[in-house]
Amino acid sequence: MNDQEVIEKVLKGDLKAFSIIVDRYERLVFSIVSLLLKKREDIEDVSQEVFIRVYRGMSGFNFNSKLSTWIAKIAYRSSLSHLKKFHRKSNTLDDIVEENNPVMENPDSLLEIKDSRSHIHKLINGLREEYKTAVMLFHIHGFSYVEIEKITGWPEGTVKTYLYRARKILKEQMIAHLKS
Amino acid sequence: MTQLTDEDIQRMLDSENSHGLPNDDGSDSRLAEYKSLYGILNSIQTEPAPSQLKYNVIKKLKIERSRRLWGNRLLIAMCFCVGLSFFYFAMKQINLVSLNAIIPYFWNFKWLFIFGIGALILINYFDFILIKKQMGVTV
Repeated sequence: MNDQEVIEKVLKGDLKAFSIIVDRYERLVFSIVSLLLKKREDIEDVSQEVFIRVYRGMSGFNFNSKLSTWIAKIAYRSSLSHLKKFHRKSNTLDDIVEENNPVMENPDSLLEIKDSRSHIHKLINGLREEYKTAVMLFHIHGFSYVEIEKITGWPEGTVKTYLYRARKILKEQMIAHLKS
Repeated sequence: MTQLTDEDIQRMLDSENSHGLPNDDGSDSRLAEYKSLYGILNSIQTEPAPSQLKYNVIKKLKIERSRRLWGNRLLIAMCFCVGLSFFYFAMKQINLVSLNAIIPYFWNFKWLFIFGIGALILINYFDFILIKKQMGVTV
């Protein structure tokens, strides 16, 4: 059953059909919410809230974009508004300091990392939020520049710049790690 | 061959058609580094969502739906009462109904009204408490 058929069923009041939507997109939502929020309880609460917003807004979804893009946008915006609501300052675009040295600070944990994938994952988590979001959406979730623009509201050029900088940082850190 | 910038390499790797890529002959180690970075990035799997996420979402939606249903019923009941009052006063205005005649008539059904409304409120309350306990969350 494709997304459109599932949505039609949901709009007819079938909650079981909505659970298919949750099954399909829970990883995406959880991953996007985790980009901005740190506490496990917050992540779980906001992820639930995202799906409730998706359910409420489903009648207004007109397939101008992919369902995944629309859900990702709701997840991203919900996480941002949660951050604002609880006055937790996130990194702003004007931040000069880049948090790009998470693993290097701790040589012991560095030694424990054998798998390059998990190492890169840790490096991504250490990037500033905009870079991390761009990398996760582009590489891990496979969204295009235009889709990332829709999700985050950043202009396409900004998305490209974030991705470029993030990958450059990651590459340099990966090389530094290998050399060490 | 002119040296490619990091941006050039990334742009080429980003494009679906990678025919424009120069041969990776070791002359530009950055190309190989970026290729390996892309390979790793594209193969990363996200963390699975908690198992109870779907259950909690569906439960919350059921509660919301039940609330809306009760809201609608209440609205219908209120509209009915308002309509009835309006009808009564309209009839009274044109002297078709006398207040003295209609009150004793409805008085006969007073317990039915009282128990009916009380039962509805209680059912709604217990239903709500039960769902809250099942979910273990504050609704």
